[in-house]
Amino acid sequence: MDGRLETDVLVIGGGLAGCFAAVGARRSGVDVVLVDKNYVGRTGSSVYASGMGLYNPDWGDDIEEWLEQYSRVGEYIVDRSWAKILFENSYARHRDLVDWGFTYYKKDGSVGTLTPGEEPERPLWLKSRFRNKCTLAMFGSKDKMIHVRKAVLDSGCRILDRVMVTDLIVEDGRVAGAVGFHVRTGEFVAVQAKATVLASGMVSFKGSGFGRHMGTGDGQAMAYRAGAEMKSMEWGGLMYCIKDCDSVIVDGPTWEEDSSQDNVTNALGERFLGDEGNPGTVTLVLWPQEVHAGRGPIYHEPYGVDPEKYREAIVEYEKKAEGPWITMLDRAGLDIFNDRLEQITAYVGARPGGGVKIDEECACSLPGLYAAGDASGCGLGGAAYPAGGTGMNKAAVTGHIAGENAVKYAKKVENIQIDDSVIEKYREMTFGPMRRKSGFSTDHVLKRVQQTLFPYEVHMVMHGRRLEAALTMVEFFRDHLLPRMRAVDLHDLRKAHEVRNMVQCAEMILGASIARTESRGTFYREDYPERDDENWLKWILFKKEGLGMKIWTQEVPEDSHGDTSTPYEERYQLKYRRS
Amino acid sequence: MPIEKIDHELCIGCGICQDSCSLDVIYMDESGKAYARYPEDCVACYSCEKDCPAEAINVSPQRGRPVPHPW
Repeated sequence: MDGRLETDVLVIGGGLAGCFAAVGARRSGVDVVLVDKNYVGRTGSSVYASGMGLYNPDWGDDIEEWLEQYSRVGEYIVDRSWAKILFENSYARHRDLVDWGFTYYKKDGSVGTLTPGEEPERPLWLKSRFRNKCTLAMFGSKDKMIHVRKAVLDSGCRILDRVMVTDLIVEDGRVAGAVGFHVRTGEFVAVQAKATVLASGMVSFKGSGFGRHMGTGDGQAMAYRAGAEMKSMEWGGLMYCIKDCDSVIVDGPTWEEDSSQDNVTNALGERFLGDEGNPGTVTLVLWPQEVHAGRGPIYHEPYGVDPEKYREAIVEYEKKAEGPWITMLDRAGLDIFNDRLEQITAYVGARPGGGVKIDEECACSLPGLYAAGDASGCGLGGAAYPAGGTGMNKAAVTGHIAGENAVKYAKKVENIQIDDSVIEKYREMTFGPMRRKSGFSTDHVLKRVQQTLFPYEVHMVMHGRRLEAALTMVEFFRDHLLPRMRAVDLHDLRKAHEVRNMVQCAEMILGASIARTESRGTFYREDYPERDDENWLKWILFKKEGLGMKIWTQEVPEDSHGDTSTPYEERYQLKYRRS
Repeated sequence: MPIEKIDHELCIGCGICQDSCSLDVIYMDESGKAYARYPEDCVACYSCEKDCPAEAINVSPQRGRPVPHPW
């Protein structure tokens, strides 16, 4: 048996959440193994994040104000107790990052490390009436995750780079580790663990926009197949991209004081977002509604600013954070300063709150399994992205909590002795697609998933019948294409498992979306075009049962409902456009 | 193709671009230099270009495999 090892805590996924889990677990002295399908330190959405939510009452932050914003923007689906955990732990995790070598933008505009208690610059990020409490502390270096890798290694954790985990090992009703293979050598890897943490990120279906392209829902799909309960997978994420350069997510010069320069119009030249002229992630839901009404396509108006002034700021920004988007636009021959550019909204899967259901100890419903970061589903899954920096904040805080609690569990149990024949069965599943000499290519199945999910009428302007139609196709992919999918080499085998996971996630997202018979936040159904407080201040949960999904709901705690006596128009500030 | 060029002459063989690629596109050849083995899987994230210490990589915004648009 090659590559078979034992550990106390196995962490799957080496982005910020996984690294925090690994370091958090190592602090208790137990043996920890961290695996990632890529290279830890240069993988995960964290690499592309420009900042982390940061709350500190010493700086005058008022927790009630922050909770109110999360609740209102997330449209009363956000669990206040989870939001509190997020805020109250953010400063400690931020200090961990400083200790690991993270630099921040300082208040005087320079970049550097922060002394204890020093407040970094926290600019007003996409200021709008939807999100006016800024939470974002801006990172100063694009190499930040390399510091995290070093912290993981310094903690004494073993890292296995380029190991694609393919399935969880479930024995005696308990998660007992995971199996996978080395993407370059083809070595089969089976890690037996007393506790396992899933921190493998979001599901993005490799669509337009980048920074999420490695997230193929591996953890969510593995947990679902293993029988874990899932939560809040219906909430979809949208990003805005330039159509002819679709890796570019244009935030505009909004880190500057004046975000009103990002003007978005319909084909008639109308600023259809009204007062919300700038393309915040909350109002993105209005774009496909405008197109649906026949007033598309959507355009980004030329910046009404001096190109040279902003170009300098942008080039400086490109060096430190997310994407080099002005460079990309230049290479595509697009001039965002002088030309009207067509824009699209890209569907980027379930984010950031939906995934494997966790409790406040980050424990999943299966014993021995914990989850953190984008892969985890907790009460933070609002109906719209509540504030900039939530993804990183959630990754750091839940990662740390998951690591600590995985250790507590690991200390209570013994490793299960797993029979060689069981491991052999997992090996067959892992390498199955490579044994086939004919069948559907991985590219074909991925394309079919994208063609099914990406049209706006499926998950942007939804309708029960169209969701059912999409689900019918996805079930066909699951039942017919996947068992006949062929991988021609190890790189393709990795893709085969990614595609298998994406198909599984598509099924979960569509199934949960069909169940939510209302509209809320960026979740818009034209057959149920209103928020339904009477029936839907609830989370959707589900698990695998037979071939299908068993779906149920859980009431959102009453203290998170907001003031339900407020008139509808006032309570829900985001106004949908009807066609 | 999105990775237009990895300049063989400029490449110092450090392997950072291979680590930066989270889609397993970039490999090292027999001479220890980087090359795009699966360029069609590149999504033009620019990580390799940004991280290359020798400025040997040039990425184009065009994806190797077009993604269906929403409308």
